[in-house]
Amino acid sequence: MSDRILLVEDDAALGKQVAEILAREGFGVTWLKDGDEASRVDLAPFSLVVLDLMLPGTYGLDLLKRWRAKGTEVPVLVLSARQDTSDKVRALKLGADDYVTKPFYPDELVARVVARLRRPDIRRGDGALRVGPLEVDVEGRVVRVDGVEVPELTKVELDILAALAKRPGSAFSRRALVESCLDPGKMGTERTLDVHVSRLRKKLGDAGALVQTVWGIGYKLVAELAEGS
Amino acid sequence: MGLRLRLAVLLVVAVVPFAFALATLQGAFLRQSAARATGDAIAARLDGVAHERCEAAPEDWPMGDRFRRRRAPRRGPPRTPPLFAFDASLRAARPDAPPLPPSVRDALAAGEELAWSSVEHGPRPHLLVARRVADEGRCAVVVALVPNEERALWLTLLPALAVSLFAVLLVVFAAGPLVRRVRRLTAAVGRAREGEDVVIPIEGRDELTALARALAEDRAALAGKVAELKRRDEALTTFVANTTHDVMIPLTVLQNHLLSIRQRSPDGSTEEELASHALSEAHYLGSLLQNLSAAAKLDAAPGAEGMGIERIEFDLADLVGRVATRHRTLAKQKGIAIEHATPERLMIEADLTLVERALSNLVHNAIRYGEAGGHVAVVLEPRDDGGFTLEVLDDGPGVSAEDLPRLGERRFRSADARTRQPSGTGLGLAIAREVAERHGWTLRFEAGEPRGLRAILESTAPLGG
Repeated sequence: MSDRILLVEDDAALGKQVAEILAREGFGVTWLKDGDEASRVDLAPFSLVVLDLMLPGTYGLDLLKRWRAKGTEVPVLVLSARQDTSDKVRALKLGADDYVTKPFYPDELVARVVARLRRPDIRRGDGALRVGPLEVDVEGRVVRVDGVEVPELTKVELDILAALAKRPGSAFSRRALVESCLDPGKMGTERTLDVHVSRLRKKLGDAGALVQTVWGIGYKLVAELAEGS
Repeated sequence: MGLRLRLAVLLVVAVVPFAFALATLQGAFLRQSAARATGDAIAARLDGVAHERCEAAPEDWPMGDRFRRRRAPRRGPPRTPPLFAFDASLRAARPDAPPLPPSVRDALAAGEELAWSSVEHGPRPHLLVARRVADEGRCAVVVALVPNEERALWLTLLPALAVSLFAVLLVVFAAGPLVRRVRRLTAAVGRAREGEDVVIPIEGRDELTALARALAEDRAALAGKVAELKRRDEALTTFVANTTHDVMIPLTVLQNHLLSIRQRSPDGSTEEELASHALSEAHYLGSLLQNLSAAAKLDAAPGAEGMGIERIEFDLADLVGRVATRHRTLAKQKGIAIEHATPERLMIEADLTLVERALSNLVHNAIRYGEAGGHVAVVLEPRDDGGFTLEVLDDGPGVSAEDLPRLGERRFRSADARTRQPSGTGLGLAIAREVAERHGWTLRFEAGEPRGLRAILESTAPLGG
């Protein structure tokens, strides 16, 4: 990723860390410590702004207001320590796209930044869902592993895989999968679902391990197997 | 009853009987004077010869009619009223003599020299005056009928009534400004109570002025105290907000430093363990501060549904993801796997900050009491009635059945603290429960299968009601 991010943060220690965290993820980071300085900067080269609301010189919200008044549409992620809903509402109304409350971990910040930057759908134009070696062609009713078609998948098995592939990495509860994939007329239960999933895994071969059981929830489809889990 | 009406009624009630009594008294006095004068005139008339003549022929005495008729055309009462002789036993000498009223008879029989009474005689009221002129004989008592000069009672009362009416009008007019001042004062005090910034009007120089001044001073003193309290409260709120803000930055920095130390140290080293503990404490500190801030906000409003919360529409699915992500770092370093499942979107109208806090507390609680190798799952599902169910489950040591219903009570910590870590005041779960109640949701805790704790937050209304 070569996205450039503007960081406006007055606290030296926090600013340094945030800049490092973002740089580690491969973003080009420009860090400004001063609100007045930030109000003069040209936002065009930036894909996203990380803005601390408490800034010397200019209050973060004023900065945001000024940018939006100029018609800038760059996504703004607000760093806030405020515990008031009204503050967040004000920030969102003034055109902030998202917020992260302090204290935060690098993971959370990166997750929010990435979520903002990849807003366009990841789905390809041909309607097929690709997750790692898997390709789920919902319309063609075909599943391929590394380009090889998986034979004899039942309708329910394909539906389950398609549902999971829509949001790879996200867990789906058994109940949600039962409701969306099993025939309501056939007394679909969560046990039945487990049977379907176990058959699906077998048919997928090695790729079957990508369909993971999630404790307390149900199942998820991951793109690759992490070493630890 | 208004002040003016009360004064007017009081005046009428007091003045009218008084005037009536006065008029009655005056009438009696006038009658008495007239009777005495007439009595004296009779006595003078029957001096000597006249009495003898009367005694001789009481039925012809006095010469009367002819004489009177000649004088009758004159205007006003005749100078000599018609006289009638009665004998000692009060029998009339002439048949046209007026009958004596019983009161007059009794008085004369009792030996009174003069007796009188009002009688009806012709069209006008008359005063019948009886004068004893001799102790015995045929002309012992002479009775005169004089027209009663006394005016009718209502005529006598008229000036009194006029005066009282005038007094009433005077009172009503005079009380007007007073009443208006009292009203202005009441209105000013009322507006002041409603919280308006009003000046209590101080007018005139009387008892009302003193009252107004006392009220104004009282209000000024009170306003001073309120302003002082408000100032202190604001100062405290600002202080807390600023402190929270100021603490969050070093806390974030600290967490990240600790994380770096932990990531750089070789697996299983003492440093890694230390950093993990420090990280966990830093996280706890941050969440404690946020809980205190939330508790202060909730405490400031009465504890009923809908109070102290600011509803905005937001995606609860996104919030669940956000909270789960935030706790992933903490969970990972404790060896706990945290997962979440949500629909793609689930819009609700609720207090974003407080719901985030409540959910964070449930998740943090699950991680905090979890053990290495354990799991935490957060599942959000829409309900058919338009509400939602949000479950946080773990496979930690759980809570005993009798303690389950008490979880979330303020300051309650399960006696199972021996099995669960002893830190924490239960504030987090108490806030979660309070937030649920303010939103009209339910929060209940159940035992997990086969172990662990299951926190279920449920809303039965669309948009989280």
